[in-house]
Amino acid sequence: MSDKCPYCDGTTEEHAADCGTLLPPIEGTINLIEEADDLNKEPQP
Amino acid sequence: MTVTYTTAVKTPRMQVMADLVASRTISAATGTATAGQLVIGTGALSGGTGVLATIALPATAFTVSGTVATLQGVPLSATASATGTAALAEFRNNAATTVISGLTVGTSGSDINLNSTSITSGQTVTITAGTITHG
Repeated sequence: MSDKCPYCDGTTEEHAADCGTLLPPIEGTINLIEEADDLNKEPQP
Repeated sequence: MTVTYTTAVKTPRMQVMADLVASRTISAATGTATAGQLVIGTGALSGGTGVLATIALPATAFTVSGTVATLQGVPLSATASATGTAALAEFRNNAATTVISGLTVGTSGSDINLNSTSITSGQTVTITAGTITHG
Protein backbone atom coordinates (compact mmCIF):
# COMPACT_ATOMS: atom_id res chain seq x y z
CA MET A 1 0.00 0.00 0.00
CA SER A 2 1.37 3.39 -0.93
CA ASP A 3 1.24 6.60 0.99
CA LYS A 4 -0.44 9.62 -0.50
CA CYS A 5 1.86 12.34 -1.76
CA PRO A 6 1.10 15.63 0.02
CA TYR A 7 1.88 17.57 -3.14
CA CYS A 8 -0.08 15.87 -5.89
CA ASP A 9 -2.34 13.56 -3.84
CA GLY A 10 -1.10 10.57 -5.78
CA THR A 11 0.50 7.49 -4.34
CA THR A 12 4.27 7.51 -4.10
CA GLU A 13 4.48 5.63 -7.39
CA GLU A 14 2.12 8.03 -9.12
CA HIS A 15 3.95 10.89 -7.50
CA ALA A 16 7.18 9.93 -9.19
CA ALA A 17 5.47 10.26 -12.55
CA ASP A 18 3.34 13.28 -11.71
CA CYS A 19 5.66 15.39 -9.63
CA GLY A 20 9.11 13.96 -10.02
CA THR A 21 10.40 15.88 -7.04
CA LEU A 22 9.72 16.40 -3.38
CA LEU A 23 8.98 12.78 -2.66
CA PRO A 24 7.93 12.46 0.96
CA PRO A 25 10.80 10.96 2.94
CA ILE A 26 10.76 7.44 4.31
CA GLU A 27 11.83 7.36 7.94
CA GLY A 28 12.31 4.47 10.28
CA THR A 29 14.12 2.88 13.17
CA ILE A 30 15.99 -0.34 13.81
CA ASN A 31 14.90 -2.36 16.80
CA LEU A 32 16.43 -5.79 16.44
CA ILE A 33 16.14 -8.11 19.40
CA GLU A 34 18.20 -11.22 18.95
CA GLU A 35 16.68 -14.55 19.68
CA ALA A 36 18.69 -17.40 21.13
CA ASP A 37 18.09 -19.46 18.01
CA ASP A 38 19.91 -16.84 15.94
CA LEU A 39 23.22 -18.03 17.32
CA ASN A 40 22.62 -21.55 16.16
CA LYS A 41 21.10 -20.82 12.80
CA GLU A 42 23.23 -21.60 9.79
CA PRO A 43 23.62 -18.93 7.10
CA GLN A 44 21.23 -19.30 4.23
CA PRO A 45 22.80 -20.18 0.87
CA MET B 1 11.76 -14.96 11.12
CA THR B 2 15.08 -14.84 12.84
CA VAL B 3 18.08 -12.96 11.58
CA THR B 4 21.08 -14.87 10.31
CA TYR B 5 24.64 -14.22 11.38
CA THR B 6 27.48 -15.34 9.16
CA THR B 7 30.08 -17.76 10.48
CA ALA B 8 32.50 -14.82 10.61
CA VAL B 9 30.28 -13.42 13.37
CA LYS B 10 29.35 -16.64 15.11
CA THR B 11 32.84 -18.03 15.58
CA PRO B 12 34.24 -15.06 17.54
CA ARG B 13 31.10 -14.95 19.64
CA MET B 14 31.55 -18.57 20.58
CA GLN B 15 35.24 -17.92 21.24
CA VAL B 16 34.34 -15.12 23.66
CA MET B 17 32.01 -17.47 25.49
CA ALA B 18 34.66 -20.19 25.60
CA ASP B 19 37.34 -17.79 26.85
CA LEU B 20 35.12 -16.34 29.59
CA VAL B 21 34.23 -19.82 30.83
CA ALA B 22 37.96 -20.47 31.01
CA SER B 23 38.47 -17.20 32.94
CA ARG B 24 40.55 -15.72 30.14
CA THR B 25 40.67 -11.99 29.31
CA ILE B 26 38.86 -10.75 26.24
CA SER B 27 41.01 -8.42 24.13
CA ALA B 28 39.87 -5.50 22.03
CA ALA B 29 39.40 -5.93 18.31
CA THR B 30 42.31 -4.92 16.09
CA GLY B 31 42.49 -3.38 12.65
CA THR B 32 41.15 -0.18 11.17
CA ALA B 33 37.41 0.30 11.23
CA THR B 34 35.84 0.96 7.84
CA ALA B 35 32.33 2.06 7.02
CA GLY B 36 29.76 -0.64 6.45
CA GLN B 37 26.27 -0.26 5.10
CA LEU B 38 22.66 -1.04 5.81
CA VAL B 39 20.93 -2.33 2.70
CA ILE B 40 17.15 -2.19 2.54
CA GLY B 41 15.54 -4.29 -0.14
CA THR B 42 12.60 -6.25 -1.35
CA GLY B 43 11.80 -9.80 -0.31
CA ALA B 44 14.22 -10.91 -3.03
CA LEU B 45 17.17 -9.09 -1.46
CA SER B 46 20.38 -10.98 -2.20
CA GLY B 47 23.62 -9.34 -3.26
CA GLY B 48 22.74 -6.70 -5.82
CA THR B 49 19.27 -8.13 -6.42
CA GLY B 50 16.32 -6.41 -4.79
CA VAL B 51 18.29 -3.49 -3.40
CA LEU B 52 16.13 -0.42 -2.80
CA ALA B 53 18.37 1.76 -0.65
CA THR B 54 21.92 1.51 0.64
CA ILE B 55 22.60 3.56 3.73
CA ALA B 56 26.23 4.21 4.58
CA LEU B 57 27.11 3.63 8.22
CA PRO B 58 29.80 5.34 10.28
CA ALA B 59 33.14 3.49 10.43
CA THR B 60 32.28 2.56 13.98
CA ALA B 61 28.63 1.82 13.41
CA PHE B 62 27.68 0.68 16.90
CA THR B 63 28.65 1.30 20.47
CA VAL B 64 27.88 -1.43 22.97
CA SER B 65 26.64 -0.91 26.51
CA GLY B 66 25.43 -3.85 28.50
CA THR B 67 23.45 -6.02 26.12
CA VAL B 68 22.50 -3.27 23.69
CA ALA B 69 24.38 -2.10 20.59
CA THR B 70 23.31 1.40 19.57
CA LEU B 71 23.62 2.68 16.01
CA GLN B 72 25.83 5.75 15.74
CA GLY B 73 25.61 8.82 13.54
CA VAL B 74 21.84 8.91 13.29
CA PRO B 75 19.96 10.17 11.42
CA LEU B 76 21.49 8.26 8.52
CA SER B 77 20.04 8.83 5.08
CA ALA B 78 20.34 7.62 1.52
CA THR B 79 18.57 8.18 -1.75
CA ALA B 80 16.59 5.15 -2.88
CA SER B 81 18.15 3.56 -5.93
CA ALA B 82 15.07 1.60 -7.04
CA THR B 83 11.32 1.40 -6.60
CA GLY B 84 9.66 -1.43 -4.72
CA THR B 85 8.23 -2.69 -1.47
CA ALA B 86 10.75 -2.99 1.33
CA ALA B 87 10.68 -6.34 3.13
CA LEU B 88 14.22 -7.37 4.07
CA ALA B 89 17.45 -5.72 5.14
CA GLU B 90 21.06 -6.67 5.67
CA PHE B 91 24.10 -5.23 7.39
CA ARG B 92 27.12 -5.46 5.10
CA ASN B 93 30.74 -4.55 5.65
CA ASN B 94 32.91 -2.17 3.66
CA ALA B 95 33.47 -4.84 1.01
CA ALA B 96 29.70 -5.30 0.70
CA THR B 97 29.95 -8.74 2.29
CA THR B 98 26.83 -9.57 4.24
CA VAL B 99 27.36 -9.82 7.99
CA ILE B 100 23.78 -10.01 9.26
CA SER B 101 20.88 -10.93 7.01
CA GLY B 102 17.20 -11.67 7.35
CA LEU B 103 16.20 -8.46 9.10
CA THR B 104 12.53 -7.89 8.52
CA VAL B 105 11.26 -4.52 7.31
CA GLY B 106 7.70 -3.37 7.92
CA THR B 107 5.71 -0.58 9.43
CA SER B 108 5.43 -2.06 12.93
CA GLY B 109 6.65 -5.09 14.82
CA SER B 110 9.56 -5.67 12.44
CA ASP B 111 13.31 -5.49 12.97
CA ILE B 112 13.25 -2.26 10.96
CA ASN B 113 10.08 -0.20 11.04
CA LEU B 114 9.49 2.44 8.39
CA ASN B 115 6.62 4.91 8.06
CA SER B 116 6.02 3.31 4.66
CA THR B 117 7.46 0.24 2.99
CA SER B 118 6.58 1.61 -0.44
CA ILE B 119 9.86 3.10 -1.63
CA THR B 120 10.28 5.04 -4.84
CA SER B 121 13.58 5.58 -6.61
CA GLY B 122 14.91 9.01 -5.70
CA GLN B 123 13.10 9.10 -2.39
CA THR B 124 15.08 9.83 0.75
CA VAL B 125 15.25 6.96 3.22
CA THR B 126 16.34 7.86 6.73
CA ILE B 127 17.10 5.76 9.79
CA THR B 128 16.55 7.94 12.84
CA ALA B 129 17.62 5.45 15.53
CA GLY B 130 18.77 1.88 15.85
CA THR B 131 19.51 -0.72 18.48
CA ILE B 132 20.40 -4.39 18.47
CA THR B 133 19.57 -6.06 21.75
CA HIS B 134 20.92 -9.40 22.93
CA GLY B 135 17.84 -11.41 23.83
